[in-house]
Amino acid sequence: MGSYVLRRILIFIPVLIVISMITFWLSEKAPGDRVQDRCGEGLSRSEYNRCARLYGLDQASFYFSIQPKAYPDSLYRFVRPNRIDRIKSYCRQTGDWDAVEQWEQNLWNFNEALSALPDSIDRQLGIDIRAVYTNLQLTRDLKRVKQELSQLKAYADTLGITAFSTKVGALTAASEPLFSVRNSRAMYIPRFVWHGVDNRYHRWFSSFIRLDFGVSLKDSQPVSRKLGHALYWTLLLNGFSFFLAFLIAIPVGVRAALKVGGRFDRISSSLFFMLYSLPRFWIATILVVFFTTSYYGDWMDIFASIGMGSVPDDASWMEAFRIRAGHFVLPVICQTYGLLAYISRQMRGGMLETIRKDYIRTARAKGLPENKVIWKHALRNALFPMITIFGAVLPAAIAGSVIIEVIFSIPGMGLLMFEAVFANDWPVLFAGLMLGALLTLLGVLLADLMYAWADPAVRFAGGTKSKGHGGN
Amino acid sequence: MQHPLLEICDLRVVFEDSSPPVVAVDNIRFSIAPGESLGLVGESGSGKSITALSIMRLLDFENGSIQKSGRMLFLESAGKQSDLMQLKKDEMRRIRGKRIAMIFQEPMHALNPVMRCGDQITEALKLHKSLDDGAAKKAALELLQKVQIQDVNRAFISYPFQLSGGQKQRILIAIALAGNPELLIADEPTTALDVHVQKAILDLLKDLRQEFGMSMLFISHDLGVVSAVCDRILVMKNGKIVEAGPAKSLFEDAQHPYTRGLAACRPKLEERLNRLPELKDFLPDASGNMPSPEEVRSRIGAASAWSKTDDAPLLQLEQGSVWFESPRKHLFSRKGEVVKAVHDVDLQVFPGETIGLVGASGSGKTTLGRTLVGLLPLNSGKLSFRGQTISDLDAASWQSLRKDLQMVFQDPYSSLNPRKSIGEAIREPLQVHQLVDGKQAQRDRVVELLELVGLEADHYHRHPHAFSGGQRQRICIARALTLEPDFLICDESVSALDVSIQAQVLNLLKDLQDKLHFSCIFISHDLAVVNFIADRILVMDQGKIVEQGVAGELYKNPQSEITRRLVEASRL
Repeated sequence: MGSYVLRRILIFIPVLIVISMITFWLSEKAPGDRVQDRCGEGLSRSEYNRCARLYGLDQASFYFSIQPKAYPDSLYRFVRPNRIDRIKSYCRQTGDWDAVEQWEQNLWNFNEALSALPDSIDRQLGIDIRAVYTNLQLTRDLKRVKQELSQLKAYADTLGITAFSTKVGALTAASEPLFSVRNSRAMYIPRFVWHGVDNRYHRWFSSFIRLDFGVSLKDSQPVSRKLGHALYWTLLLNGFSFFLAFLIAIPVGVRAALKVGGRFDRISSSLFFMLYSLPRFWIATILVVFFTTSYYGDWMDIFASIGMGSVPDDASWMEAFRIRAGHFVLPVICQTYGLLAYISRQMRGGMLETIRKDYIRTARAKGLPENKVIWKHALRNALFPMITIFGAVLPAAIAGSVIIEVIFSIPGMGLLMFEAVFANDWPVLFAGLMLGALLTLLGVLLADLMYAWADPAVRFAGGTKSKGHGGN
Repeated sequence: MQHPLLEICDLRVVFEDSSPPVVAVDNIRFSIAPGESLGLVGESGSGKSITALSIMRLLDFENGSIQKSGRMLFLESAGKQSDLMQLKKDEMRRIRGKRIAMIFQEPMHALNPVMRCGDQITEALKLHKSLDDGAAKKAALELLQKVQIQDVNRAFISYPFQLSGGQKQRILIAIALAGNPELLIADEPTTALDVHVQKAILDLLKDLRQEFGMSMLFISHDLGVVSAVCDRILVMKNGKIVEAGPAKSLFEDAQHPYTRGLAACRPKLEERLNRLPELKDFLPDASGNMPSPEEVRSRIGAASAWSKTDDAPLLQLEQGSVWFESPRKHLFSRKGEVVKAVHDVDLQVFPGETIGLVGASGSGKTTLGRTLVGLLPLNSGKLSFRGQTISDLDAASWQSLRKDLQMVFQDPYSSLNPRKSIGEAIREPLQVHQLVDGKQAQRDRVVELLELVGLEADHYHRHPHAFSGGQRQRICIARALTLEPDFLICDESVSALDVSIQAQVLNLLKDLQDKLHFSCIFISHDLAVVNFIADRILVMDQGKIVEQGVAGELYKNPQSEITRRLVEASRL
């Protein structure tokens, strides 16, 4: 048994690594500028570079990359998504990195020429010239580049500042190779580039396994503390909800199975299925509308609508319980009612099957009272499907419910992740997803172990179920 | 007048949910005296189990509408009879388990898999005798001793899956004895067990009955078994009692053709007939004379003894071994334990002959059978078919050989796909091996096969659930014969069938073999069956062939311990 558990846990390692890579890759592909996510918008060029270097954002994203031959080795050094995108586009069109590099450098440095322009020039002309520069940076169309360059030349002529005209001339000259070279085949030849361990994935993952999850980009709080808080509330809410769901659904399922098609069976299944078919967001909203305000009468203002409430330090536990309960009731109802149909149905099925077994007949033939036959002999055997369900809902209990947590403003995992996605709060997202994955794996393992514990044939056969073989 | 312990008057049980309603028990009437052992014999579906469940009032728990009528008078105390039919639920519960106990057919499934055996016994003791934990445990250990379980303390803490079938049946008997019942109902208690275990259990029941002074109602499809343990026997057919009488006379001088058939259809070691007598052999002729068992036997004639042929063997196994590896014990242990299921076995099968393979459960006979048709690979040794080595063939080459090597399995219920009509099930091999071209031609062939095994052409489109166990086994045989194999393995193919049905299927196999001349290996734990069907017999124990001989001879002078035990077991 011990070695079985150890083996199962060892399998976690490759699974978690693969999950971390998928998560990281998804974050790479998400739109947005990582430097701006970190250090805010409106940075000067030097601030931007400093920020990038500080957080290692000027490093490769992974140990290696496979890319078209036309691309430069260290594309990642350009950091800015817009620049990288532009370089890729021109490389695709020309297939000549040297030409693109020359143009790119000139275009980049042209910024200095612009800032060197004296303040005394015509204001509108200044705006026009800067607009042309912006266009040159944004466009991916070589024809447009040509047009914009001639436009710029026209403006420079109007301006009549020699130094600026020279710079414009140099820029135009640097653009020439772009229009002449055509080596599009380089686009289709893949190339393997090794970036080494100085990469962002390595940096993130190695601090992750040192349990250093970093700080949130939103409020600079340690991610671990944020996750801890969120997990606490989610587990409390869902643990309680699921416990309640099992507590109600199991006896109902058993009773329904004892008289299939009887009145109790019909009423309980139609009621539960009706509840099952009501959308949770709707029920949650209705509950909030009706029971948290005095709009429909003062007596209906029973529960708190938002958050988990705050308990004063000197409150007695009764007081604390009252405050928390006021916040808990509605979310717990929402989390529970949908599960009832599913669990009771499974329980009913399991019980129906068990009750036809020979050993139930043996128990009855012993003369046991019927309630002992059911609750002592049948129930334990009929509970096996419940373990499967438990294993299936456990990850959900950890991940939290976005809908419920958003509607009731519960600071749980669901809400935390939801907000992290919109705030591009990558450290929180990464850690949250990894934690979710780990706890899911643990949940499945736990369900398997419960199975083994409940079935003596598994428990005593050393982790693998021995099948009765022999055939005679 | 002395009242009997239990008096059944005009008991009638009708299952009203099926259409038309099924009369399972039809106005039967019998009584059991205190201390008497009464046998109830009949084929599956004759209503004998329903009778037993009615007495226990266990039918109350079945779903569906079941109509019960009649009286079941139980002697509650001297001179006071109460009608079990009329008792209230909790009154009945004081009788059920305490005064009337029951053991069931399938010991494999009759114990709660998640409770320790000891707890299942003490539970009954606490219920009936109001003992506390310590006293109950002591009483349970005593009971375990009474049912002759070897390691009493180990059995007490074991879970059912850790015990063998025979041991489980002993536990069930212990549970039944917990209330010191006056009547023990035993519903086919040995049918699912190996023959030599069967004998031990029957002996145990006989002893316990005397020791506890119980009455017993013993139910079986096997007249031989019943007459071994009972004083008086009732024969049941289609819900009616067709004959009753003392065990001895009933067995030897039955009046009803059905009873005669039941008495004669069980294969006997001493007498090797050409065919087994079937129920139909005892039907009265046109003038109303019922043939006597002697007449039937002489009409059938004795089987010819085996004679050695000069033909080359069809299938030959030399030094064949198969071993299984148990799962690894520790994470870093290299290999698990190796269990040799088949150990250096030499075997030759000549064209047209039948070899019987006998042995107890776990002796390796099934593994050997599977190996011979390539369902399991040989770990060492050489297997050749028609002189050509086939043990080293790859999967694709086996595929083409498969049609010559076929198998009929033990359980006719689970070896047919319930969603496929039986015609299609039989046609499938024809399709796969493309032996007959065209759908219509294939269908014609299937109909031919169905008729060959005694079924009808219009059964083609029916599904397995519409057939009885015997019919299903015929279907399985038809399916195995579809490809006209040269070699057939029957693995316990008649063990799950009633004796009367078993006789029919055995006769069918013999007829088919005369007609089609295939060679056959017949695997069974029952020496009498093998002695009838086979030409030569091999006895297997712990993966090795410990003895072999010619059928009709081997039993006379058994050399090994295991053979002696098998011979003894078939004599009951």
